[in-house]
Amino acid sequence: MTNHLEIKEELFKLEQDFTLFQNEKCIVKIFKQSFALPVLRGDETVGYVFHGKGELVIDALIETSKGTIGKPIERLIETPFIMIAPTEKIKN
Amino acid sequence: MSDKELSKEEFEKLKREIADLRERLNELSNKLEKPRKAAGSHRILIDVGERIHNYIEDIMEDVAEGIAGELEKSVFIGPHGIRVCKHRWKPPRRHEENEAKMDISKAASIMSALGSEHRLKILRELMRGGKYVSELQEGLSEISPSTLSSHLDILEKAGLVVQEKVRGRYLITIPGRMAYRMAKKIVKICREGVDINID
Repeated sequence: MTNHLEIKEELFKLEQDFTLFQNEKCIVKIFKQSFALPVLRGDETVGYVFHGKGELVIDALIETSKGTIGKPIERLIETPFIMIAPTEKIKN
Repeated sequence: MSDKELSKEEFEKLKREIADLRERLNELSNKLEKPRKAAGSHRILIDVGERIHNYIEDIMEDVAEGIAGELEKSVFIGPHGIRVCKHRWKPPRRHEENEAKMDISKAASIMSALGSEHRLKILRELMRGGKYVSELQEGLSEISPSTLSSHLDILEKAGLVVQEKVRGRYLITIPGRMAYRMAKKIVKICREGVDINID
């Protein structure tokens, strides 16, 4: 299998907001009206390049016996970014 | 002429007197020379000694003042004994004074956040661990949901609690834990009536 990644010339426009990644500490969202370009490795879609508005939320908090340290971080994503992860929902 | 002769006599007389005086002076100077040498060397030593003594005394006074000043700044004698501050004391700068003023307003906001029975109860609940609003509501059924939300906002603004943005749980911060403990301690002191010597 080739390790060469390339961007497919097929543009998707998001019609709804998508949560691209979420776990207990982090959420990455992309909002509707943003654009997505598939990233290919051979014939397989391994991720997307996103361009539009999104949101990054990270709970940079650590619970200790003396209390919680840190703070939650919320950032608006306005620059293009690549996400290498299976995101089949976008195709649908 | 007689004047001239007299003057000659006088001159001779004066000459002799001068010679006598010279002799006396020589004698005196001979007498004084030996002691003067001894006394002179001694006098020099005394002079130098005095100067050095004064110099050393001045230095020692400065050093003593410096040590006394440093001790005053770094050694604290209180009711629990002597405490020595390892760090060098620095005079407060203007911006530090402003920060101190800011701390007072922050302290007032924290005290204000603590000034509610409900909020203290919320802190007590959170001392046991992070909780969702629903869990807090269960433990504090006497508080209405809207009041609970308002109290949580006040506590969050004061930096005593923090809310997770992903899961939504409320967590007590280090200042929050300290503030709750402080409130508890004040209550204990007031209850027991412990005498506190402010001096």
